[in-house]
Amino acid sequence: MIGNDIVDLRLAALESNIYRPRLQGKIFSEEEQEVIRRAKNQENQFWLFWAMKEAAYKAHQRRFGLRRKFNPKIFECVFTSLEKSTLQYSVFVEGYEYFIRSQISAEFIHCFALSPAVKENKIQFFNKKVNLRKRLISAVAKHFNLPVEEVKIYKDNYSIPQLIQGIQSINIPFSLSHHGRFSAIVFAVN
Amino acid sequence: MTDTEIIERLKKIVTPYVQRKEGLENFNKKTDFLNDLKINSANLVDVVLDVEDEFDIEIDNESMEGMLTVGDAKQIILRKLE
Repeated sequence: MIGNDIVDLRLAALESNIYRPRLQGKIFSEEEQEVIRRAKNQENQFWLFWAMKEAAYKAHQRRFGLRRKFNPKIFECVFTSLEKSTLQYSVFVEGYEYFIRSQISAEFIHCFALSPAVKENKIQFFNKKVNLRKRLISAVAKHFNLPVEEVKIYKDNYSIPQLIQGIQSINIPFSLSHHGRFSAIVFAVN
Repeated sequence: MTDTEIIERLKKIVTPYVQRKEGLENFNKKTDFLNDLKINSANLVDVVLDVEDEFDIEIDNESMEGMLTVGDAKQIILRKLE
Protein backbone atom coordinates (compact mmCIF):
# COMPACT_ATOMS: atom_id res chain seq x y z
CA MET A 1 0.00 0.00 0.00
CA ILE A 2 0.92 3.62 -0.49
CA GLY A 3 0.13 6.79 1.40
CA ASN A 4 1.42 10.28 0.70
CA ASP A 5 1.27 13.76 2.18
CA ILE A 6 2.38 17.12 0.82
CA VAL A 7 2.91 20.27 2.89
CA ASP A 8 3.02 23.75 1.35
CA LEU A 9 5.53 25.30 3.75
CA ARG A 10 4.39 28.87 3.23
CA LEU A 11 0.75 27.98 3.93
CA ALA A 12 1.69 25.73 6.85
CA ALA A 13 3.51 28.67 8.48
CA LEU A 14 0.30 30.72 8.21
CA GLU A 15 -2.04 27.96 9.37
CA SER A 16 -0.08 26.52 12.28
CA ASN A 17 2.13 27.73 15.08
CA ILE A 18 4.44 24.78 15.65
CA TYR A 19 5.71 26.36 18.90
CA ARG A 20 2.27 26.48 20.49
CA PRO A 21 2.62 25.09 24.03
CA ARG A 22 1.51 21.41 24.37
CA LEU A 23 1.08 21.05 20.59
CA GLN A 24 4.13 18.90 19.86
CA GLY A 25 3.43 16.66 22.84
CA LYS A 26 0.12 15.62 21.26
CA ILE A 27 1.80 14.60 18.00
CA PHE A 28 5.38 13.55 18.66
CA SER A 29 7.28 11.25 21.02
CA GLU A 30 9.96 12.70 23.30
CA GLU A 31 12.63 11.50 20.85
CA GLU A 32 10.91 13.11 17.86
CA GLN A 33 10.52 16.38 19.78
CA GLU A 34 14.22 16.28 20.63
CA VAL A 35 15.14 15.85 16.94
CA ILE A 36 12.94 18.84 16.09
CA ARG A 37 14.49 20.95 18.87
CA ARG A 38 18.01 20.23 17.62
CA ALA A 39 17.22 20.71 13.93
CA LYS A 40 18.76 23.63 12.05
CA ASN A 41 15.36 24.33 10.55
CA GLN A 42 12.77 23.37 13.16
CA GLU A 43 9.78 24.11 10.92
CA ASN A 44 11.05 21.78 8.20
CA GLN A 45 11.79 19.01 10.67
CA PHE A 46 8.33 19.39 12.23
CA TRP A 47 6.57 19.16 8.88
CA LEU A 48 8.81 16.34 7.65
CA PHE A 49 7.85 14.18 10.64
CA TRP A 50 4.23 15.27 10.34
CA ALA A 51 4.09 14.32 6.64
CA MET A 52 5.76 10.96 7.38
CA LYS A 53 3.10 10.17 9.94
CA GLU A 54 0.24 11.26 7.70
CA ALA A 55 1.60 9.24 4.79
CA ALA A 56 2.07 6.14 6.96
CA TYR A 57 -1.41 6.60 8.43
CA LYS A 58 -2.95 6.50 4.94
CA ALA A 59 -0.91 3.46 3.88
CA HIS A 60 -1.73 1.60 7.10
CA GLN A 61 -5.43 2.43 7.01
CA ARG A 62 -5.71 1.31 3.38
CA ARG A 63 -3.67 -1.83 3.90
CA PHE A 64 -5.94 -3.14 6.63
CA GLY A 65 -9.22 -1.36 5.83
CA LEU A 66 -9.22 0.41 9.20
CA ARG A 67 -11.75 2.97 10.39
CA ARG A 68 -10.52 6.55 10.55
CA LYS A 69 -8.77 7.67 13.67
CA PHE A 70 -6.66 10.62 14.70
CA ASN A 71 -3.61 9.71 16.74
CA PRO A 72 -0.36 10.76 15.05
CA LYS A 73 1.64 9.89 18.15
CA ILE A 74 1.33 6.12 17.66
CA PHE A 75 3.16 6.50 14.33
CA GLU A 76 6.81 6.41 15.24
CA CYS A 77 9.41 7.99 12.92
CA VAL A 78 12.60 5.95 13.14
CA PHE A 79 15.89 6.78 11.47
CA THR A 80 17.11 3.56 9.83
CA SER A 81 20.19 4.29 7.71
CA LEU A 82 22.21 6.79 5.78
CA GLU A 83 22.13 6.30 2.02
CA LYS A 84 23.98 8.62 -0.37
CA SER A 85 24.06 11.29 2.37
CA THR A 86 20.27 11.09 2.78
CA LEU A 87 18.73 10.01 6.08
CA GLN A 88 16.42 7.03 5.56
CA TYR A 89 13.38 6.81 7.77
CA SER A 90 10.70 4.24 8.45
CA VAL A 91 7.47 4.75 10.32
CA PHE A 92 6.40 1.99 12.70
CA VAL A 93 2.83 1.52 13.84
CA GLU A 94 1.23 -1.40 15.65
CA GLY A 95 4.24 -3.56 14.78
CA TYR A 96 4.23 -2.76 11.04
CA GLU A 97 6.95 -0.91 9.17
CA TYR A 98 6.45 1.59 6.35
CA PHE A 99 9.41 2.80 4.31
CA ILE A 100 9.48 6.54 3.81
CA ARG A 101 10.65 8.44 0.75
CA SER A 102 10.70 12.21 0.92
CA GLN A 103 11.33 15.24 -1.26
CA ILE A 104 12.18 18.53 0.41
CA SER A 105 12.38 21.85 -1.40
CA ALA A 106 12.33 25.44 -0.15
CA GLU A 107 8.60 25.53 -0.89
CA PHE A 108 7.21 22.13 0.00
CA ILE A 109 7.79 18.81 1.72
CA HIS A 110 6.42 15.61 0.24
CA CYS A 111 6.55 12.20 1.89
CA PHE A 112 5.23 8.88 0.84
CA ALA A 113 5.05 5.66 2.80
CA LEU A 114 5.31 2.21 1.25
CA SER A 115 4.39 -1.18 2.64
CA PRO A 116 6.96 -3.89 1.79
CA ALA A 117 4.87 -5.22 -1.14
CA VAL A 118 5.37 -2.02 -3.14
CA LYS A 119 8.72 -2.10 -4.96
CA GLU A 120 8.37 0.45 -7.73
CA ASN A 121 6.36 3.62 -7.87
CA LYS A 122 5.74 6.73 -9.93
CA ILE A 123 5.33 10.26 -8.59
CA GLN A 124 3.94 13.38 -10.23
CA PHE A 125 3.98 16.88 -8.75
CA PHE A 126 1.78 19.82 -9.66
CA ASN A 127 2.25 23.44 -8.66
CA LYS A 128 -1.04 24.71 -10.01
CA LYS A 129 -4.64 23.78 -9.40
CA VAL A 130 -5.43 20.54 -11.23
CA ASN A 131 -8.06 17.83 -11.02
CA LEU A 132 -5.91 15.31 -9.17
CA ARG A 133 -8.24 12.36 -9.67
CA LYS A 134 -8.27 12.95 -13.42
CA ARG A 135 -4.50 13.27 -13.49
CA LEU A 136 -4.14 10.03 -11.57
CA ILE A 137 -6.52 8.18 -13.88
CA SER A 138 -4.73 9.34 -17.00
CA ALA A 139 -1.29 8.53 -15.56
CA VAL A 140 -2.39 5.05 -14.48
CA ALA A 141 -4.21 4.35 -17.76
CA LYS A 142 -1.16 5.40 -19.72
CA HIS A 143 1.28 3.37 -17.65
CA PHE A 144 -0.76 0.15 -17.63
CA ASN A 145 -2.16 0.64 -21.11
CA LEU A 146 -5.81 0.73 -20.00
CA PRO A 147 -8.67 2.55 -21.74
CA VAL A 148 -8.79 5.84 -19.83
CA GLU A 149 -12.58 6.21 -20.07
CA GLU A 150 -13.11 2.94 -18.20
CA VAL A 151 -10.93 3.74 -15.21
CA LYS A 152 -12.67 5.32 -12.22
CA ILE A 153 -11.98 6.05 -8.57
CA TYR A 154 -14.43 4.51 -6.17
CA LYS A 155 -14.66 5.10 -2.41
CA ASP A 156 -15.54 2.18 -0.19
CA ASN A 157 -17.45 2.25 3.12
CA TYR A 158 -14.40 3.46 5.02
CA SER A 159 -13.98 6.26 2.45
CA ILE A 160 -10.83 4.53 1.23
CA PRO A 161 -10.42 5.28 -2.50
CA GLN A 162 -9.78 2.46 -4.96
CA LEU A 163 -9.23 2.26 -8.69
CA ILE A 164 -11.74 0.31 -10.74
CA GLN A 165 -11.94 -0.57 -14.41
CA GLY A 166 -15.58 -0.98 -15.40
CA ILE A 167 -16.95 -2.82 -12.38
CA GLN A 168 -13.74 -4.61 -11.53
CA SER A 169 -11.32 -3.48 -8.89
CA ILE A 170 -7.80 -3.06 -10.22
CA ASN A 171 -5.32 -3.50 -7.44
CA ILE A 172 -3.07 -0.52 -7.97
CA PRO A 173 -2.11 1.17 -4.72
CA PHE A 174 -2.11 4.95 -5.05
CA SER A 175 -2.39 8.10 -2.98
CA LEU A 176 -3.22 11.74 -3.66
CA SER A 177 -2.35 14.78 -1.58
CA HIS A 178 -2.98 18.48 -1.94
CA HIS A 179 -2.04 21.47 0.22
CA GLY A 180 -1.95 25.12 -0.79
CA ARG A 181 -0.11 25.57 -4.08
CA PHE A 182 1.07 21.98 -4.38
CA SER A 183 -0.27 18.52 -5.15
CA ALA A 184 1.26 15.12 -5.65
CA ILE A 185 0.14 11.71 -6.87
CA VAL A 186 1.97 8.45 -6.23
CA PHE A 187 1.10 5.00 -7.54
CA ALA A 188 2.66 1.56 -7.51
CA VAL A 189 3.89 0.15 -10.80
CA ASN A 190 5.13 -3.32 -9.82
CA MET B 1 -23.73 22.13 31.08
CA THR B 2 -26.33 21.30 28.43
CA ASP B 3 -25.51 19.60 25.11
CA THR B 4 -26.62 22.70 23.23
CA GLU B 5 -24.30 24.88 25.27
CA ILE B 6 -21.33 22.56 24.61
CA ILE B 7 -22.09 22.48 20.88
CA GLU B 8 -22.32 26.30 20.78
CA ARG B 9 -18.94 26.61 22.47
CA LEU B 10 -17.45 24.01 20.10
CA LYS B 11 -18.73 25.95 17.13
CA LYS B 12 -16.96 29.08 18.37
CA ILE B 13 -13.73 27.10 18.88
CA VAL B 14 -13.59 25.48 15.44
CA THR B 15 -14.74 28.48 13.38
CA PRO B 16 -11.26 29.99 12.82
CA TYR B 17 -9.99 26.68 11.38
CA VAL B 18 -12.93 25.92 9.09
CA GLN B 19 -12.10 25.97 5.37
CA ARG B 20 -15.60 25.11 4.20
CA LYS B 21 -17.79 27.78 5.79
CA GLU B 22 -21.09 26.25 4.52
CA GLY B 23 -20.37 23.40 6.89
CA LEU B 24 -21.03 25.78 9.79
CA GLU B 25 -24.61 26.53 8.69
CA ASN B 26 -25.98 23.22 9.86
CA PHE B 27 -23.57 22.63 12.74
CA ASN B 28 -24.76 19.62 14.72
CA LYS B 29 -23.39 16.53 16.40
CA LYS B 30 -23.00 14.70 13.09
CA THR B 31 -20.78 17.44 11.64
CA ASP B 32 -17.43 15.91 10.69
CA PHE B 33 -14.39 18.12 11.35
CA LEU B 34 -12.44 16.88 8.32
CA ASN B 35 -15.12 15.94 5.77
CA ASP B 36 -17.77 18.60 6.42
CA LEU B 37 -15.72 21.52 7.73
CA LYS B 38 -12.46 20.72 5.85
CA ILE B 39 -10.37 21.57 8.89
CA ASN B 40 -6.84 20.49 8.02
CA SER B 41 -5.56 17.66 10.15
CA ALA B 42 -2.75 19.72 11.72
CA ASN B 43 -5.35 22.23 12.93
CA LEU B 44 -7.32 19.39 14.50
CA VAL B 45 -4.59 19.38 17.15
CA ASP B 46 -5.26 23.09 17.72
CA VAL B 47 -8.95 22.30 18.15
CA VAL B 48 -8.06 19.71 20.80
CA LEU B 49 -5.86 22.24 22.65
CA ASP B 50 -8.56 24.92 22.43
CA VAL B 51 -11.14 22.49 23.82
CA GLU B 52 -8.79 21.66 26.70
CA ASP B 53 -8.41 25.36 27.51
CA GLU B 54 -12.07 26.25 27.10
CA PHE B 55 -13.40 23.42 29.30
CA ASP B 56 -10.34 23.11 31.55
CA ILE B 57 -9.92 19.40 30.85
CA GLU B 58 -7.14 17.19 29.54
CA ILE B 59 -7.75 15.14 26.42
CA ASP B 60 -5.41 12.15 26.33
CA ASN B 61 -4.35 10.71 22.99
CA GLU B 62 -6.72 7.76 23.26
CA SER B 63 -9.68 10.15 23.47
CA MET B 64 -8.27 12.40 20.76
CA GLU B 65 -8.08 9.37 18.45
CA GLY B 66 -11.88 9.21 18.22
CA MET B 67 -12.56 12.94 18.02
CA LEU B 68 -13.73 13.18 14.42
CA THR B 69 -17.18 14.73 14.75
CA VAL B 70 -18.83 17.39 16.91
CA GLY B 71 -20.73 14.59 18.67
CA ASP B 72 -17.48 12.73 19.45
CA ALA B 73 -16.02 15.92 20.92
CA LYS B 74 -19.15 16.56 22.98
CA GLN B 75 -19.04 13.02 24.43
CA ILE B 76 -15.39 13.37 25.35
CA ILE B 77 -16.01 16.73 27.05
CA LEU B 78 -18.95 15.34 29.03
CA ARG B 79 -16.93 12.32 30.11
CA LYS B 80 -13.99 14.46 31.24
CA LEU B 81 -16.24 16.90 33.11
CA GLU B 82 -17.86 14.14 35.17
